[in-house]
Amino acid sequence: MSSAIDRRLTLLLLALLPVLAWSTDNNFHKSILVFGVVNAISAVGLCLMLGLAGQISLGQAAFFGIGAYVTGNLVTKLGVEPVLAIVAAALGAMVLGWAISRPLSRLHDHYLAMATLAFGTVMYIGFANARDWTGGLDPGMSVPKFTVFGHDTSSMNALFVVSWIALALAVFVANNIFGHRIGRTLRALKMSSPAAASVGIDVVQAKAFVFAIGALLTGLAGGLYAFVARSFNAGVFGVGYSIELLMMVVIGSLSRVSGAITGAFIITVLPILFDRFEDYRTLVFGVTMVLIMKFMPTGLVDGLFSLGARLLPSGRRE
Amino acid sequence: MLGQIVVSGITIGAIYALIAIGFTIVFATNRVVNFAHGEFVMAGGMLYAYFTGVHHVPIAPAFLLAAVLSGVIAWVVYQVGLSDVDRDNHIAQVMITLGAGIALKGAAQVWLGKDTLFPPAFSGPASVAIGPLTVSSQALWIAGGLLVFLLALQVLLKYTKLGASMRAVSLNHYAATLMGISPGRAAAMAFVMAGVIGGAAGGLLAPLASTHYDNGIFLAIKGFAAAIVGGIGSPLGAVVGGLVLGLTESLAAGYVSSVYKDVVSLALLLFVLILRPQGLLGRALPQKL
Amino acid sequence: MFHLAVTTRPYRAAAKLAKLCAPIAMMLAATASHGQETIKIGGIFALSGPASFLGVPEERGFRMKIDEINKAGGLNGKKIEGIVYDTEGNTTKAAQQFRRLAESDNVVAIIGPSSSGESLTVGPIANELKVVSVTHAGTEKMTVPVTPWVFNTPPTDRVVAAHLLGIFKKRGITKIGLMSAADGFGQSGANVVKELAPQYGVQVSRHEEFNRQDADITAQVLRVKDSDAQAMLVWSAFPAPTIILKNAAAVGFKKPIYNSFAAASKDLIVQGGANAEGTYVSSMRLLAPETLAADDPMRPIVTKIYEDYKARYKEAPATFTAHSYDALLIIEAAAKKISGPITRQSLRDAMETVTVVGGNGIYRLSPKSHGPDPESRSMVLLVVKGGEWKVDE
Repeated sequence: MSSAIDRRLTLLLLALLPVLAWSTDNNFHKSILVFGVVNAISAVGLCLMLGLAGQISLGQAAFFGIGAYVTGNLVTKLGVEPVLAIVAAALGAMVLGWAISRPLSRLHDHYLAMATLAFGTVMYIGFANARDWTGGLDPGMSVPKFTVFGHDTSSMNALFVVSWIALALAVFVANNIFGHRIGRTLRALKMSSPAAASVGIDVVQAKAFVFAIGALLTGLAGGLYAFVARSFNAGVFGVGYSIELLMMVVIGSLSRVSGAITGAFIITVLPILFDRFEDYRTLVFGVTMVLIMKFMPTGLVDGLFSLGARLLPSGRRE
Repeated sequence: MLGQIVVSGITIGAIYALIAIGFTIVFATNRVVNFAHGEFVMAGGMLYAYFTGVHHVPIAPAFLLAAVLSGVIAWVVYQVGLSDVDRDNHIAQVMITLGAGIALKGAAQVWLGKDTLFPPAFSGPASVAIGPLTVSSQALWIAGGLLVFLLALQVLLKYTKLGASMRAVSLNHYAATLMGISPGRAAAMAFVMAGVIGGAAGGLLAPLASTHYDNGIFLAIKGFAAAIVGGIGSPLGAVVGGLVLGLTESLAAGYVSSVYKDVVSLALLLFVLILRPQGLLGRALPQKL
Repeated sequence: MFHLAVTTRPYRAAAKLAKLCAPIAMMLAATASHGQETIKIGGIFALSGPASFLGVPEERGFRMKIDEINKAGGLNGKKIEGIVYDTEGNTTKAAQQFRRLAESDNVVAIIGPSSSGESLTVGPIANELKVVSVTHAGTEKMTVPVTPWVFNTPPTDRVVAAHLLGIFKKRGITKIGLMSAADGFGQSGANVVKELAPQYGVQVSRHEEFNRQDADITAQVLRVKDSDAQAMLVWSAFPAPTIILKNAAAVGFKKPIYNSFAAASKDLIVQGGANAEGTYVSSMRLLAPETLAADDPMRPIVTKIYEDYKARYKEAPATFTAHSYDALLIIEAAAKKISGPITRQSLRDAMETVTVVGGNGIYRLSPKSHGPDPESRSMVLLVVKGGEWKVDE
């Protein structure tokens, strides 16, 4: 399936979100949409790393946390304008992503998974104990209402607009990388980094680039999260979130931006739907994951595409 | 104090090693990091507690039953989840093990309960004095269990046809297929072995450290780390990795800072990975071109 | 043929998915169409995850009291419909579930969440959405300063820490080794203990942390053993308190071991066995209702919760049961003062006028007080003697 279809699907999803947001007055449904959008931004970041460049990361929660904590500290301690604080936090996460990729550049696959998992855990312990900056695990950090040049924009509608714009930006960045020469470089990296090196690609640079971009987007999501949640503790930034992000990216479609967005919404909404199963919901969620990955090993979006491709010609036959 | 901290570190290390062995066997034959492995350990502990606590089964049969049932669970996970998924789609396989792990956790929560349980220890006196040191008798069972499983595994891999076929698959599964070996069978056997050893680890661990339906992922991460430090794919490496990790944690808690003990052990892990990416005892595999 | 065989798979999968989704849709529809005859009260508790030791007994107290009210005819003649969601102890989930109860389920009041971190998250949302919220936070920040829509039932960590430190002072213990779990509960307790200790002339000469799930905590125990601490104070949920008892016995730790209220449970005796002998816990009265003086105003209600719980769940209650039970007691008392329909606003206004004797203490609620009276002696020191809890004050 060509990337043109992916791009159209992504734009369709982007257009669909505001329609959904404005078709409901229910604050809860809106907050789910906002959390979904925030997760989608993170997921697009990981999609570039894993889907495009084949660099797995189980430490994304660290970048998410950096985004949230830098934003929170800039706003509460220095009184920085919220939007600027989020931008600064995302850039901070990007620098961290770049720095962490250098020593890890020799690692791949499960070794990289372990190393990033270790990095994420170390950062989590740091968040839990750097109490002056983060409030630790209890009571955590509280952030004032989101404002833009002094105007109160903390309603769910306003937060939705802001997060949606951020997601649109993330999609724009991702689409450009997918289509650009750098995208082909990264794809070469995914196939084989020795081979990529042999045709003159600077593997270390390319890995650092994709780690930095992935961290930037996840950090951006973290900055937004700070204002959506308003009060949060270090528990949010544990390994659990990194694993959830991995699920989002894989379950949608590993190689598509639209897949990351779809996956983000599935993993955000599914557990809430499954709450109705009460004690059985963990079991049902696990079984659903297995079924989706077993029958659509390349993700839901691809699975639905091939389903559509099958149904369409048979429809013509009738 | 040092001696006692070393004893504590070896106890913890032996547990990590037992968990890591299961990771390593599955990885060697399937090239998959099995995220459900921690749940096999959890299942072993919970089932052991269930049989001894609810049905008053004596210790030895309860333990054996728990280990065998964990093996069955692992087999089911492989047959239902993984057997017909493209072998080269590692990421889909990893996600399936992740989903299966979540499902197992959910199943344990529903059918075995949400309580933290301490099932009975294997033998009478809680601890044994060895010179100036005291060692928990359950820790001796754990160390013994580790030795038994390590030896049994070496014998099985070296001297049986099944072991030879598993080694062949781990080296090159296409070549193995050409030699008439069924990679699927070897893979299924690897899961069963991981399940049995993991379940046994859970049963051995539970009297010492308790068992709870939610503990799987914690155990999995420790076991995964131990397997990677030692060099994933090698059972001996798993043991070395487990002991190195356990000792580091314990010494760090005793002499550096208990708050940052996990930071010290994870920093060591990162250090090993950066200097020697294949792990302490691992062979450097040629990267695909 | 071959083409067909290849492409049936995704279709089959989709059919399976559709089948799976059907019951969900039905259930959603079912709950949406409930009539107006009931009063809906929501509960959000940590039913799984690290704070589940709090959430599970809280949920039981919630169900137990609602059934009791309904059996007696409901609130002003209307039955209560209790709706419970799991927060997994996660602040994000707690906020989502809170909004869900307030916006989708249209409840009049929400009881929970279980931990301080989650409660701090939902507090501002309660005030924004104007829904009655009775949290179970250990921190006094929930009700100091008082905000219009937020009430809190448990005695705070501060009350428990002050209780234990007061006992240390009385017993001449001036140096303690503090052992806390590396989670929200442990961290919160450790902070309060460290903050209050100087006021009682107590010095925290060692502070060690551990993961709640650690298999062996010997190194930390040895650090405390090696220090000049005269006693050890453990602030953690299970299983760590039991493991610490075992490790301490193994290395010959002879100093007294005190536990926070998280270890106030029969489990400590059952799991710790002989090692538990002589261990202290600071407990809410619910673990030992007979310890209250015969004329204590709390005695009847504490005894009632204890016995009702035992009859229903076949075990002694964990003390956190009273958190949600008390919340419903307050709502029940407030409803009696409402003559018109019970709405969020009328309930909130009425709640500020009631005085209720609950399992945790006495609540004299007013526009200035939204929590238990700090003077009510809700904690008691228990010691394990001969495999039983005995009062030791």
